[in-house]
Amino acid sequence: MTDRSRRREETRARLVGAAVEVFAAQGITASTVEQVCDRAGFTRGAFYSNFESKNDLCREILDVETQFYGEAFAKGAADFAGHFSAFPADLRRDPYEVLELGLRQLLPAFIAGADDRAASHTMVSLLFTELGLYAAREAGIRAAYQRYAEAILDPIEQLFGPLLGLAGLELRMDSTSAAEIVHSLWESGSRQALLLASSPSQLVDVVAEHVMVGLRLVTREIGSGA
Amino acid sequence: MSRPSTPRREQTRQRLATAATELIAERGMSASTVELICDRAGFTRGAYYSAFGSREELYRAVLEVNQDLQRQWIRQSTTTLAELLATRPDLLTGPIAERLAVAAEVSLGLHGGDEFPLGPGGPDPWTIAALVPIELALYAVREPESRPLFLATQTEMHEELGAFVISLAELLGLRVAVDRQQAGVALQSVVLAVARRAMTFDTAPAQVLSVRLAQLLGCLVGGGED
Repeated sequence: MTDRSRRREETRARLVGAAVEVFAAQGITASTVEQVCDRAGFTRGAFYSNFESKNDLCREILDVETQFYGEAFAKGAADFAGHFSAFPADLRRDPYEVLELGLRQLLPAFIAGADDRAASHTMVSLLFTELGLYAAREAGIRAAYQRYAEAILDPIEQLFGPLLGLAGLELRMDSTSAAEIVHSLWESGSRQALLLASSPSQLVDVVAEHVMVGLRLVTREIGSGA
Repeated sequence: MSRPSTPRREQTRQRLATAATELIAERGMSASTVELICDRAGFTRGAYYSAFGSREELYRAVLEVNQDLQRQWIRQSTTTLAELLATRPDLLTGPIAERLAVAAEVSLGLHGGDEFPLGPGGPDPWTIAALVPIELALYAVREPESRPLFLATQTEMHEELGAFVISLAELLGLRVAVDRQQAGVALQSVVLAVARRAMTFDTAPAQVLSVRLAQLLGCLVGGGED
């Protein structure tokens, strides 16, 4: 990397970092390019030589997170397989106890802020909630938001197989619908965690409790259904 | 603190709270300034400040509007379903899946009945239904002193939604298999997440929700007849 391109990367990263703080603090509609520049300590010229607009910057944040999610999923799935290949096949356990063990094993890899970004969990979580609201209002970032939304649902859908198989459970419906219902509870659990959790372990507890409500609803014991 | 309330004062307060709710749906909490609220409601800033002594008081009023909208929705859906069943008793002996589909459609206004409008010229009712509750939660995250009020209101709304699910099921001759609070949490989570997701995918929320709600109701009754 030349000095010039390195400087450029640094400028972009500082602008993105400042935008994350401003968006998380007051929402995206209320945030201006000027506020982002002030926070980052750059001129508007520097902003516009890196991003076309506020929406362009939002798209960049979403694209980075979409990629992060894909990687987190690959790693989470590998760890999960490693952990549960050594899991004792204790058939007398309650299937939902087994399911919750599996879920708690998986969750930290997917919760923004339960990983190495722990210190900034609140900010990251606020930011993505705000991006979801902004995408509902603003057509300009929808394509990027849709890719992000798919990247979040895919892992849930793909993990149903190994997770439910382990517990002796099956879905009551197609996996796409079930993933959407479970993810709905995940989202409300994340909001609830913002209100209630004061540590990473509490955060996992609140989200896990919500996701378990979803998982209990969309599953049943194998052979118990019509 | 608020002064003694007269009918006229109360009406002004209501109109301002309604205008604020619409703006919050369109632009978010931080971007809904006193000036914009006054413009939309057609009042002066003087009238605003005599109705609301602080941002916190406005927040309380918007929470009430939000809860009232949910109550209207519940009342209307329950009445419409009861009326429909009175003219179509055959539905009660039909397949469970069909009964659940009818309940979902009724609660989405697809079987007649008014939508729950706030006022003419306001935002799409889905924007209010799907985005305002999330805005209210985020405000409580950012303003810790408003958290107890938000959490207490949220618990009430979950209870009311849970009771709603139970009465829909009863009308259909079905029994809900989970406790009321959990049913309420699940219903609220799914409505908020699925409607918002539909908006970001340029799909009509009622269309996706009619399928998803029928599935959710199916999970909540666990396939059991009374």
